[in-house]
Amino acid sequence: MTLDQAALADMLEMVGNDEAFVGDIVDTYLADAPAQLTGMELALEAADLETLGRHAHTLKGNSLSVGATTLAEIARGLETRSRAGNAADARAEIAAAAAEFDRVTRALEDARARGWRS
Amino acid sequence: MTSPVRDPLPDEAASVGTAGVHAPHAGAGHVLVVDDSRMNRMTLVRLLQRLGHETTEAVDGRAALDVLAAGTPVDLVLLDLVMPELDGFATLATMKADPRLAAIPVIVVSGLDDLDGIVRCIEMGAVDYLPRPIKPTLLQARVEATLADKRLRDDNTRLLATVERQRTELARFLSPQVAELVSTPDGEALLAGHRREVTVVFADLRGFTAFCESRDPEEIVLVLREYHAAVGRRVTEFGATLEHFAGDGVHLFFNDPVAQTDHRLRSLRMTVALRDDVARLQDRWASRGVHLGFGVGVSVGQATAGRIGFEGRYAYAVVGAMVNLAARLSAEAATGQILVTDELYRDLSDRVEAERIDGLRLKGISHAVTAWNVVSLVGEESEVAPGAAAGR
Repeated sequence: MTLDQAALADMLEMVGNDEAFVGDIVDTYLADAPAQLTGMELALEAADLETLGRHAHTLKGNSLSVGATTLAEIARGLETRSRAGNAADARAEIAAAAAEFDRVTRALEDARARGWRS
Repeated sequence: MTSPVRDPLPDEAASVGTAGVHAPHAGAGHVLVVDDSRMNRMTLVRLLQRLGHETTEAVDGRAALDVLAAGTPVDLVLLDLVMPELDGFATLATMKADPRLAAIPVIVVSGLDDLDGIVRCIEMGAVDYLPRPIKPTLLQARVEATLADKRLRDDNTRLLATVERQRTELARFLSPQVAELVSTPDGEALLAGHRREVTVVFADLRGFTAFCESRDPEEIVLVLREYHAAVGRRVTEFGATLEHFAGDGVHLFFNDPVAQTDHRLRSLRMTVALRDDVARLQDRWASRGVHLGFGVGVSVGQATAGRIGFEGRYAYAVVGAMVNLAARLSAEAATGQILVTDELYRDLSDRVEAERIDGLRLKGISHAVTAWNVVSLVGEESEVAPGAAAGR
């Protein structure tokens, strides 16, 4: 699932329906995820799998928080395999993550327009 | 409060490290949020500030340790595990190894897929963990429970430090045993008054009053200082309770408030040792032209012990007929004599070499009294020949 609307609706409810709060968190997510994607690419080029795994870890956690389930899954795979020293499919997986992030971005903008409600 | 955040967004910068939108309340604390994910930090900081807590952010373990080293009064650390520079494990290990930081509680924040990491941190001394994604109610419960626990521990530490300071201060004025009483649960009952068998010792210098009238104050103070040092050393060594120190007069007792099953023999060991000490001092004083004698009285029996005096000026004291008896024997003792009661001598007759003195007429006692002058203790080497001391 590109965007689990329930995750954002839950977050909104938990912060007392403070739409601006959710908006700020989502903005931060959208602003920082590209750096994590770029960081993974650079780490792969440098064959630095530890750094690759760390960026994947952050992307995974942040994606889960906003309900980007599919992107979180891709990141989880990247994290697990790079931690295990396996970078065989990493380039394709990073590309898949970047493509998924574009979809997540559009889905989040749609969700914002609905006031984060499913 | 500044915080080591990389590239904060303009709108975020304003909220960083402030007391939050709500006024701090009694349960509020200062929370250090350590996470390399800006989004995570922001989520936690916003939620904590809504709860009225003060926050500081750190982008990794190294930055967190810098914040702590700068002396920021942090009450709680929320610690991410996977971070560049210094990860959560290394940060936790460093904190726990540093006595100044070890007491600051740490809650680990991690995804539940890293259960092994969470368990490792708990083993390393983290107090709790928070699963990601963060649930505000859970965050509130864990943070507030941890802060309440820390406040309790801080209060306790402060209280103990105060008690220790008071005890140390009291011990300078009171006998250590009595100072100890004041800060123990049983102490109040003992202070309130109780009956117990005690051995009481009175000792003083002979000719001291005349000496004081004829000498410079400096010389008098020097002699007293040497004498008090000798008495103080033996009081501590033998665990005597010092009731009273007045000029050259010393009033001690044994077996209260601390029980001493050997209090009778112990009192004689102490007085014999003290007589030897004073004999050496007498040699030193004699070379300065000062001639002072030393006499001791010892009695044993039931007495009432406790807090005696009036509001504002109390002493821990023993009272009873046997206390008077020891004082009278001390007054009666010739220089170098340790006069003990018949009862005390009979109890220790196989341990004591003593001379019988009959027909003593003591002030306040209607009948003639038999006392014994302790020459030495059997089987214990005197450091100075008793004859030498007695002859002075």
